[in-house]
Amino acid sequence: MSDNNELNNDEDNAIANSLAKFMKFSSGKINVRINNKPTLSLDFQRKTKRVLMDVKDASIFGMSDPSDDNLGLFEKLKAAKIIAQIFDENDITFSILRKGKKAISLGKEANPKLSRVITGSDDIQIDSIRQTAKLGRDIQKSQ
Amino acid sequence: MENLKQDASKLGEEIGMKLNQTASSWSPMIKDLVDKLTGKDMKVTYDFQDLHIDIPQATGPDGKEIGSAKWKINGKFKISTEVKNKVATIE
Repeated sequence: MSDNNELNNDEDNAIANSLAKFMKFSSGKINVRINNKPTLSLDFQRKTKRVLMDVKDASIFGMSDPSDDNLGLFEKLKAAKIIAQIFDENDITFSILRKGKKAISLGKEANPKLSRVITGSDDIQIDSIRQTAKLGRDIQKSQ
Repeated sequence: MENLKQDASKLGEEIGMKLNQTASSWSPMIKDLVDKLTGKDMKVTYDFQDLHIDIPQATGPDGKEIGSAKWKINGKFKISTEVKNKVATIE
């Protein structure tokens, strides 16, 4: 691994750590609308240390330049594992919903059974294979 | 008294360093957000609903207490971008 990659990983970890701390001490909601269309909502539940991110319109993921996304599946999974571990260390459960329905949970309360075989992580739980697959398709379509 | 002054000055430096570290980790994220919006000709609305950020007092590496912070954010924040054609047409 090059020094640059190591530096980027350290920076990414520091950002993930800052985000986890921000989540830990926050309560309330942030709704994001793009061109007046509900796109994303974040619900910070401080008492239960849960953060729910509801993806209402996956086109938000299509906003990034595809040339930036040069990570393979293995690297993406590795990054997800690290982020999930950082959430776990900060006692946070981060759930991703698709149009109000739970798809994946990362961190503290993730209790994977079958999904451990797929992700190889104790901190990532696939709540609904159906919703996760749909979310994946939505994101692919948007790119 | 002199010790107290030194302690206060050291604590000030520590808080300054922490603030610098936090600001430097947030600035690339803000830059990314602006980059992604540039030239997209779109309107993004961030609606903050009773968002409370309550950072508790922490104990620093030397056992010194580092100050707490409380923010409350309510309201909407809109970012609009417009693509303007810089190339003049030649007839």
